[in-house]
Amino acid sequence: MPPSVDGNGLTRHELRAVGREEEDHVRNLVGLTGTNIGCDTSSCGACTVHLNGEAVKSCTVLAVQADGTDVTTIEGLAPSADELHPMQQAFYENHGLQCGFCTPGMVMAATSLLKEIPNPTEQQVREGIEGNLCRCTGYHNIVKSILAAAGASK
Amino acid sequence: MIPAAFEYERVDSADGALALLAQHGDDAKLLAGGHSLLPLMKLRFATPSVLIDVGRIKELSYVKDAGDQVAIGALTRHHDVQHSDLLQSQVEILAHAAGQNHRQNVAARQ
Repeated sequence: MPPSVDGNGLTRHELRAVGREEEDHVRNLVGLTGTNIGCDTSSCGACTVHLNGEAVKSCTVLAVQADGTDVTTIEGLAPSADELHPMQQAFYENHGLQCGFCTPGMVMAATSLLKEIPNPTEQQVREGIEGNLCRCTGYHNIVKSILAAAGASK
Repeated sequence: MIPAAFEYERVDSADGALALLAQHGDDAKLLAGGHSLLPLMKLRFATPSVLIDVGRIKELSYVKDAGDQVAIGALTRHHDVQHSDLLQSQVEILAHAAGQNHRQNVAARQ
């Protein structure tokens, strides 16, 4: 019986092998390539997705572990094709990315953080994204983006 | 990186996990969050032939008042230790420590 994983509102039954990690599953089998694979060992956070609304590093979640859970990837965040999620908009407006590789994971971690702490201090934002690495920005504009998104959602 | 082939079993009780461990012996590894074991498997430092997923055993996930002690289940997530009202009022340092040793996107599973 293949796992039933509800990704961005779509139920998929495409698992071929139990050894496939969730991020590989969404990229290659479901066809959503927004989730990036960085270190592949849960250090860098580029692969962060939401499982039942909580941010997790998907490179060390087997697809079978996600059986029956609700998976949201970066593709599932925006309310429509014409409108960015407030966090995406904040990254756009505050130059919260350079090369963009860490961005899907950063945005997923950041949205999860604001769910837990709606009005974080700068320190709380920095601690909240410490599981996500960025090699371009020095983090400054990422933190600025997340604080801006928190302000926008007040 | 792709782990070596393995069989996957999920159990929903401690008894179920013990039965599978008895059946498979040293060939089996317990999978809880996966943050340590799965990277080791990807790097082929660990090659268990059976993974027993204990992550959904609810009976082992709790923080509760046990008289003169606070009992914490073996599968209680750091996130739940950090946010436990009981620990925050009775053993605040534990709740505080749980918030110090994880990243937000790890705590939900670890």
